[in-house]
Amino acid sequence: MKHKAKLRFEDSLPSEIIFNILSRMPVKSLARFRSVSKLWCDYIDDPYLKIIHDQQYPEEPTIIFPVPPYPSIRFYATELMKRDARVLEAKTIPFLEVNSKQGLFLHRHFILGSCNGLVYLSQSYGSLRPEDLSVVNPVRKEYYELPPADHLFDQKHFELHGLGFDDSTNAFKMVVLSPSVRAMVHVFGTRSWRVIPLNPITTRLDRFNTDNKAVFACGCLHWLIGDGKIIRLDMRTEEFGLIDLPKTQRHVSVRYKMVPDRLVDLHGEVGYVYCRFVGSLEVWVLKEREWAIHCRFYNKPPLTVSAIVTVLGSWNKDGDILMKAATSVVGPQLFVYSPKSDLLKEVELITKPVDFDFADAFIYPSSLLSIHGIKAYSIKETEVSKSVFLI
Amino acid sequence: MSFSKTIMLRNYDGETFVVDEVVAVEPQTIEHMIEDGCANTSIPLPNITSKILSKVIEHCKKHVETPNSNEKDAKADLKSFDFDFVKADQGTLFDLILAVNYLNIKGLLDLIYQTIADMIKGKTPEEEEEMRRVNAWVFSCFVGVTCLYFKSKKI
Repeated sequence: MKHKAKLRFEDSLPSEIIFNILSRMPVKSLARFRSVSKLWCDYIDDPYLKIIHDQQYPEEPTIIFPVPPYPSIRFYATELMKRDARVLEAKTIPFLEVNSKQGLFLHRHFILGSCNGLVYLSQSYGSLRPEDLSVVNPVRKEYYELPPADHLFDQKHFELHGLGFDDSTNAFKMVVLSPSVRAMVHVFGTRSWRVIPLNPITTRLDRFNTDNKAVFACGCLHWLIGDGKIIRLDMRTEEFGLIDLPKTQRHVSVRYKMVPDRLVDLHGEVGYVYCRFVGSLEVWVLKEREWAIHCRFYNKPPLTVSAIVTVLGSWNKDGDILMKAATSVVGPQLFVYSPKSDLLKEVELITKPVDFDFADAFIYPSSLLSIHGIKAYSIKETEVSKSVFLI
Repeated sequence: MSFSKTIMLRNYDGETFVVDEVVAVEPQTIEHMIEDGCANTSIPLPNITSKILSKVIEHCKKHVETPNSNEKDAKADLKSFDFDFVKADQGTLFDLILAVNYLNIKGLLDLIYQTIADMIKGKTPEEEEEMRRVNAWVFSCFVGVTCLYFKSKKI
């Protein structure tokens, strides 16, 4: 027999074994493990891991909160203590502090959207200029600024925006859109913006839509428009398309509704939230160009009939939904609704930062892509503190 | 009276294990060897020790013998067997993972991978440093500066 000697402990394991084990770990752990050694770092950065990781690990979404004091905003990450008991712990030190360029923040809704673990925010409200947008990578504590675009166009403000990812070139793309006028894209890694040709579809973009947030899913950015349609922009081809909304029981024009319809990111799928009237909720999800009802409820305790519910996103891969609701008695609270058990339960947050408000909570699915480092026009490190190792 | 067909497995220690065919085909590698007609005398497994091979056979036997019903008892029993099975020391786990990877036993492979993943994930930097010291074999013999350790010290 040739192999008389026993296997030595120091011998490395075959890479397929290592990949398999790493693919079973949450993104948070992998982000931390990159620092262990060069070998670990190479494994974690390997694109193959991204392919198998997606299939293996049910990624838990991350929740962050922006908190004033003006003139700067601090963003706090939260950690889930026990998923079953729905207990969140906010970190005591913020992972990012943004100073207002205008000297004062006049509003609270800074976080505009997310894509593959990156979050983007705006410095101003309503119509935006491209330089108002900035992109944050919470897991690497990096902050990317976008190049200015003044020279390209005369109208300076955009109503719609979105952050997407082109998986054919492995690049993030920020899109800004002014209906009937101009659409521009900035590809991360380049130093400028580029115009995207509009087509007649975009003339239907309705300025009355109060919630202009895009949802990135299935390789496309989606925006809800006023007359009951969704506009889709394919990140690869940069072409616009149109999707019908699901046939809900009674469709009221968005201008007259108390609770506007919204799109939400349901773990990589487009969700459409429809409130026929206050106290009711229907969530539809777009699967392969067809809509399917995800869940619906009406007058569910502990919510009262007058509660205004805003769906924030997916809580886990079982289809549970995270939402915030304000009742007449208490301010906004976070709840998780589980379609399987038809139960609505409150989320508890311990160690709240000062001046904190549930109303600002933002949830997004984290992704291995954000760990790998992103080429950007300008990269800055955000504040890193001792007690906050990584989100 | 007919005997159920048995297969002989010979490992590098020179020891021979006789197992029922139904147990022996749990590992896909062996199943393919039998299909290809290599199993006339005995199947050689030169890179697996007796200790590990007997553990693997024990696992295959248990899973083959447990009826594939949805009974809670059977499932719970199997679960507790699996749980105890992976309570081995690091060295055994290391050898097990290589053996099971070679033999290609899907269920057992998933079990071991998950066990190791659970051992590693979610540790604080201090615990991780401790764990890495103890389990230097797990991922590399690559000696490097422990960036993790120093990073947490620096800030």
